[in-house]
Amino acid sequence: MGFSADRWLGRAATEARAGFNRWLVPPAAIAVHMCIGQVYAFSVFNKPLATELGVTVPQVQVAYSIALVMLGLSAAVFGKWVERSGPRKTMLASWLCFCGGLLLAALAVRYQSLPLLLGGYGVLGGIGLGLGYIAPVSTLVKWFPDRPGMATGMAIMGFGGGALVGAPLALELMKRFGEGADTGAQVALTLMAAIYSGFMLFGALMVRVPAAGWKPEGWVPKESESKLVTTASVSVDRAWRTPQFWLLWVVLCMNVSAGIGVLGLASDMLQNMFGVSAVVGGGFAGLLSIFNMGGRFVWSSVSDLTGRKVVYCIYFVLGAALYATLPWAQQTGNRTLFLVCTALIISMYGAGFATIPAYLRDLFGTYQVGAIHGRLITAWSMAAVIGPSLINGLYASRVAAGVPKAEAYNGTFYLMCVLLGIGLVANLLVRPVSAEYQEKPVN
Amino acid sequence: MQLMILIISWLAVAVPLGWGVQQSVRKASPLFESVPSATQR
Repeated sequence: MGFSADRWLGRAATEARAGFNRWLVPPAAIAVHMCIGQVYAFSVFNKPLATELGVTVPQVQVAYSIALVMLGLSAAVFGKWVERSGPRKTMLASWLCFCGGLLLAALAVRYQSLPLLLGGYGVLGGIGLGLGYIAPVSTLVKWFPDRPGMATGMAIMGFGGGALVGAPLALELMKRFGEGADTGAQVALTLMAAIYSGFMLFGALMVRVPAAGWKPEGWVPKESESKLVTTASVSVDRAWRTPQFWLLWVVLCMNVSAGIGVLGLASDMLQNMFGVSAVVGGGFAGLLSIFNMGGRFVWSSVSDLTGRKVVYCIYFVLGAALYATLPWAQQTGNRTLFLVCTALIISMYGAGFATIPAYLRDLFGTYQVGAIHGRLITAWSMAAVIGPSLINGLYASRVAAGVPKAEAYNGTFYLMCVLLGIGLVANLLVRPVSAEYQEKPVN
Repeated sequence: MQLMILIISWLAVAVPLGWGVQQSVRKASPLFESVPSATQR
């Protein structure tokens, strides 16, 4: 059984033949990321699931938090297995876990079981997220050594796009199948598992890895490239002992922390700061999600021209300058300026995710870049916890101190500047990886 | 043949993503309808 499975699913089975068009790989990667990106849209199920299960919305939200934590943990724990097994087997495992998680969530509605929701969508689905996140990215990095930023930007743009697709899809399905006391959540989750299965299996079928030593036709690595870009290989076990790994961990954690809170609070923020309606506030969240997706591809592609270190300096310096502008925009009532600044901030938040795999490839080579990326993603899980806690905590304390709601966010904006400043320092400290950590890959 | 597969593959992901973007643009439209112009401020 193991032999036959490896024959069809293993790394060797997915090795591309001569003449294979590498542009067939990005759609496979985007398909998987677009499905697992649904996790960003889980909030549309908050109220329906709370109603169906007879629990509170915060209890349902625990499933989302568990899923994000499991994303980081599974990416870190299974990273080496992902590199060894190849993308097809990993994508299939991701499909089984993620779509299995959606089906268990549907069963949780049927049996009104919160533990089934937490274990199904949170734990099992979260493992699917981690596996599905790193496998396509590390594959694309190997196919596009000439444009790694653009390549990873494409896949991770798909993850951002997952929310844009997942939210309206879920709402449409619940509207179509909900009736009376039935919110339609059970049918919606089941159908989404079926639809996403189609896309994830398509990705697993289409994905290929390049043959050893493959290079794009006519491409010669530039000798004069930045000293940060290595042609050597560093294994995951050595990589995470380097200062560079932990500096990039801080870079990602600060970049995500500075954006994630604003993304979650966008609608409330605009309503409280400018006195707009909930509909307009919701429109603001919609606008930001487009910039969150687009920024992943655009900025990450820009990093191929500027270099990774420079582009992260832009994220941090420009991001801090834009955050510092927001209180002034609020005081002068300039809503257009506020929209432009926040849209740019969120574009760089998304870009932080998309550019980091290429940065890792620059420093550690392509050998086990997926596994290294997996361990670095724990920074995201950490940021998902500390970012919103910091923002909510500071905002609540300012309101409790008697600061008007419209102005209470200003302190959080300056706090974001500090976080971005820490990220900038960490980024500036990144130097080429010492030769003592480099090795020759076995394969 | 490979070109056909390439086109179909890209369409398979572009269509749902395009639909998602269109839904978000529709959701965001009230934002722009209600932004006061410079002369109104």
